[in-house]
Amino acid sequence: MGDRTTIRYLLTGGGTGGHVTPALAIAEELKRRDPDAEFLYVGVRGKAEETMVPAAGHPISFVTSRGYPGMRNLPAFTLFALAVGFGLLKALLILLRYRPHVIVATGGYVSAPIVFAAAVLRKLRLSKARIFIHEQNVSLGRMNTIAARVADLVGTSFAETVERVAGGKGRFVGYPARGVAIAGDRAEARETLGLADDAKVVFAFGGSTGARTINRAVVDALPHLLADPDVVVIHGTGKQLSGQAYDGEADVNARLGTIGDVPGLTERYRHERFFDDIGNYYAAADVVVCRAGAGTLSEICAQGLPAVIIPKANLPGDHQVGNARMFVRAGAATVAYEAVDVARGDVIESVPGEQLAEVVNGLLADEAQRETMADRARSLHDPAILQRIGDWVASLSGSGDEPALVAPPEVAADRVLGLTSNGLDLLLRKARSGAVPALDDEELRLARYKVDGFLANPNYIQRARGCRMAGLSEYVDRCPLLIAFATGRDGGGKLRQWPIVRRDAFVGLGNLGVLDDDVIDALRAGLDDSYYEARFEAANAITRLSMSADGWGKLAVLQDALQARMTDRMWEPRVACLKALAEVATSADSFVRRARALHFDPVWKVRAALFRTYQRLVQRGVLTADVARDEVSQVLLTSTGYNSEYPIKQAYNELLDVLGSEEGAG
Amino acid sequence: MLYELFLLLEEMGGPALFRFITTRSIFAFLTAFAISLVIGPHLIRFLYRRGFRSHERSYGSIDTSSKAGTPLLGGILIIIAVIATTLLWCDLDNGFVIVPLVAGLYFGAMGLWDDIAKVRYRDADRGMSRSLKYLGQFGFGLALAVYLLHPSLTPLGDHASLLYAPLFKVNLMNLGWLYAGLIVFMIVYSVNAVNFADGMDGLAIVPALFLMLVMAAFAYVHGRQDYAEEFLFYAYLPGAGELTVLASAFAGAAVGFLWFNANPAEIFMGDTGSMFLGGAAGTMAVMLKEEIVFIIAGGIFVVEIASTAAQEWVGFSILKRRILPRAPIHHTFQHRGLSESKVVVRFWIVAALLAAVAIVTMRFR
Repeated sequence: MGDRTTIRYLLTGGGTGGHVTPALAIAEELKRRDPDAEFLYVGVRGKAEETMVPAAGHPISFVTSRGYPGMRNLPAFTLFALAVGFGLLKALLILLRYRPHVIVATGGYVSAPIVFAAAVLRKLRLSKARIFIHEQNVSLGRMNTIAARVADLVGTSFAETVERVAGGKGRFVGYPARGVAIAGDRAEARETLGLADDAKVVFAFGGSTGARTINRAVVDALPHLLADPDVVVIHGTGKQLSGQAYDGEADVNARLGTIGDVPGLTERYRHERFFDDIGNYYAAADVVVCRAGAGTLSEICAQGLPAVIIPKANLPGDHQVGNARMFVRAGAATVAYEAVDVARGDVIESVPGEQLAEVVNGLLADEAQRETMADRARSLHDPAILQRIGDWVASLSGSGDEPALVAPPEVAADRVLGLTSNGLDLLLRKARSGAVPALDDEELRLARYKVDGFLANPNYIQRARGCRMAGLSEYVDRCPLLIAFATGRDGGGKLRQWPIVRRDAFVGLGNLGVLDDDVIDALRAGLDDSYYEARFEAANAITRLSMSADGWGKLAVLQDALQARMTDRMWEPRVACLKALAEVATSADSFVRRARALHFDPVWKVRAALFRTYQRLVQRGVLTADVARDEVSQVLLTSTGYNSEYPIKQAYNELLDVLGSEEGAG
Repeated sequence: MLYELFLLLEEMGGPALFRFITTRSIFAFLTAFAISLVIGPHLIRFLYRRGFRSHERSYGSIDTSSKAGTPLLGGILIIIAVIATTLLWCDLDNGFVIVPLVAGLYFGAMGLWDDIAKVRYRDADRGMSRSLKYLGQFGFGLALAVYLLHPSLTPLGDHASLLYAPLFKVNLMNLGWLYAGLIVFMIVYSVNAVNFADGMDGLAIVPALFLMLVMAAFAYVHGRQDYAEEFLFYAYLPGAGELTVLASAFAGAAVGFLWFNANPAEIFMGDTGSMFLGGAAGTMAVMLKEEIVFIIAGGIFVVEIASTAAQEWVGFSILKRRILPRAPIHHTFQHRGLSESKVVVRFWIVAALLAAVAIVTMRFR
């Protein structure tokens, strides 16, 4: 081949540093291979790429774009549509002028205009640009899911992701880490930073924009951490981006005021918004406390550092949790999950400082453990990743053959990760009924962590489901929260506990199995709730709790309240109170008198429940058979309902039982 | 086709019997019923074998497990019977026949798509996206409005944009192009209302049958110049009488479908059937200018859709609680413990009474 034209690469992706870093790493690799190649970066003004890209020496052009706000929020959706629409036009111009050979998109809404404009131009045969997409997380982002349809190849950071890419375009490549972050020698770095050789250095940061949970947890942990005179804590609090309410530095300064006078605070605690020479800090650190963004994690691997990971909760597809769990399974990190805290009425996520300090101190004390974790982390980093991405991109630009597929490391499937509230609810119910194996400790931990996320969700339906799942996962620590939700005594918090939340909080309490005075008070209040389904579920919870050891004895104090509700104006609470009384009633006199009002109840289900209650009370010896016989002979037996039977379906199902098939005819 | 044949025979000196709308209506009813009976068992077996079986979702307190596995897509039975009968007995050049039939087929196809998607994903909640469904419904409503209101296209003559109501001899007002809003509303309402009512064996088909009979009666009156103008003072819509034959075919097919759909059902109409019936019936009402009669005669459907909307928009969205024990309303009764057949028969009684009321309004204008 003679003198071929210069290859023009167009890079796009951004919004946060997590999307920009991989794009720049790929650009570095492509530049290394072909020093003559031209690069243009397309981003959005005011986002991470605006400063990071020129710093890396690439020209940048800007388009407009916005994150997808969902269809429900109409004003936000309109702004989104306008921004993407204008961005698309601008992108068309950029593409027609620059005429790239290959487009490398690293996801995020920033890459949307370019990718779709390129797809349009290709349809019109005005462009031949090939599109390479890189996905950094375990689960495919929203943007990349759609973009994958028009892309030529999708490189994934994790093996599990390949199957989720439509059209067989997925290729496992790994996460491209930048050389600058990786480079660093421990002794050299410590000298530069003025740290003693034998100091135990904890490096904590929540990504480039900071993380409230990490900032607060680190500050709260300081008294425990700095108690050891060798420990030095270095804390990146995060840059405040325009338009973002959270200011990490201010939050940390305010928080520092609450912990009082801690010895060593001035000498051995440094906090700054951002570190430009992050490579030095990595190199100098003994333990890292961080988020589970793909970028951060890959840098930890490259450096080989033991980490305490605090994944950000409730992201699309749980991707940070997924990333973190992969590290835990590999033995490269420990996870500290955020939990919800309702101390002052507002439900917010947090990690207790003490808990964080305990984990970090444990690691600092155990050098062997640190070594193992560092080795495991290092083994997750593969220096061939950039090489591989370079090969795939080269094959797209026609300057190389398709590289061989690499076998990704095997990872077990995860039952809990990425489930919606509906899916998790179903899984927990199945596990409880024995239809699927019970959750193991690690799964239960993750399930409860997700439940916390739902309990703090502003959407009331999600909160209600969270209540039910707190019960199903026997999340005993959340009992006070459920009581607060059930009784609506939420301390004037922002989240109002609507009727359906109260109802489901009682469902949760019923399954939780905790039976103390607070629960009994809540149940008593629940029987008088203004919403009939809450009364119904409060009574059901009493029935369920009475099944536990000595449950009925404790719950007998509620029998008067239950008897008063036997004649509720809605029939569901009437039935539920009868059922509960069957288990907890200890004296029958007033019950029999009140029950007479139900003898001709218009709803036969109430009368049927009455019979069962009489049966149970006689069995429990609360009532004599003679009294019961006299009473029930008065009850109306006509009914408007019956159960239909299908002999053929019964026969079929019985046959299937014999044959051992799992599917029934219903 | 038979219609053309008999016209030919008549010219050659044959009997004039089949020219009459009444005669053809009775034959259409019987033909549609017979066709349903004949193809019903075959269709049920075919659908079952091809795996078009319902996947009922569970409603908590209401046990639907006995319904699982029943063949879906029974609407196809109604569609085949109606089309075959129409081809045989109707004047196919008449807009009053073709337009409701096209509307029915359009919505039937939409329902079919939805049903097939539900079967494929084995989930009663999957299927066509909500927004796409409503887009398709609004779009059709608009197209119909343009057809009915454009002076050079409309088969309704001067009456096109006049609003009529029972108890009033003359039209209430001329809405002009605003009438399009009413047309779109009627179409969207009618398609969805029948769909919501379709939740128990025989629950949707019998009220739909009564509705078709009412439409047939009104179409006959509107198509007779003597009845309409001299006797009852109605809008005379030339050609509307032919709709009687079509509505009779629908009624016959409905009875034939009920044969198999009666509790315990051997087949469900699915969205295919409910949207076919709803789309056609709504279009008939609009073309006959009997929107209000349609709403009275289909009172069951009003209650079904209103209860669903109230639960969703007032209950879950605003008050964050149930305001009805269950929605649509028939599930409230079932939840209370009424057996399905009892609920259904009571709804039939109400539907019959409402149809009678609708017919009675014919005399009060």
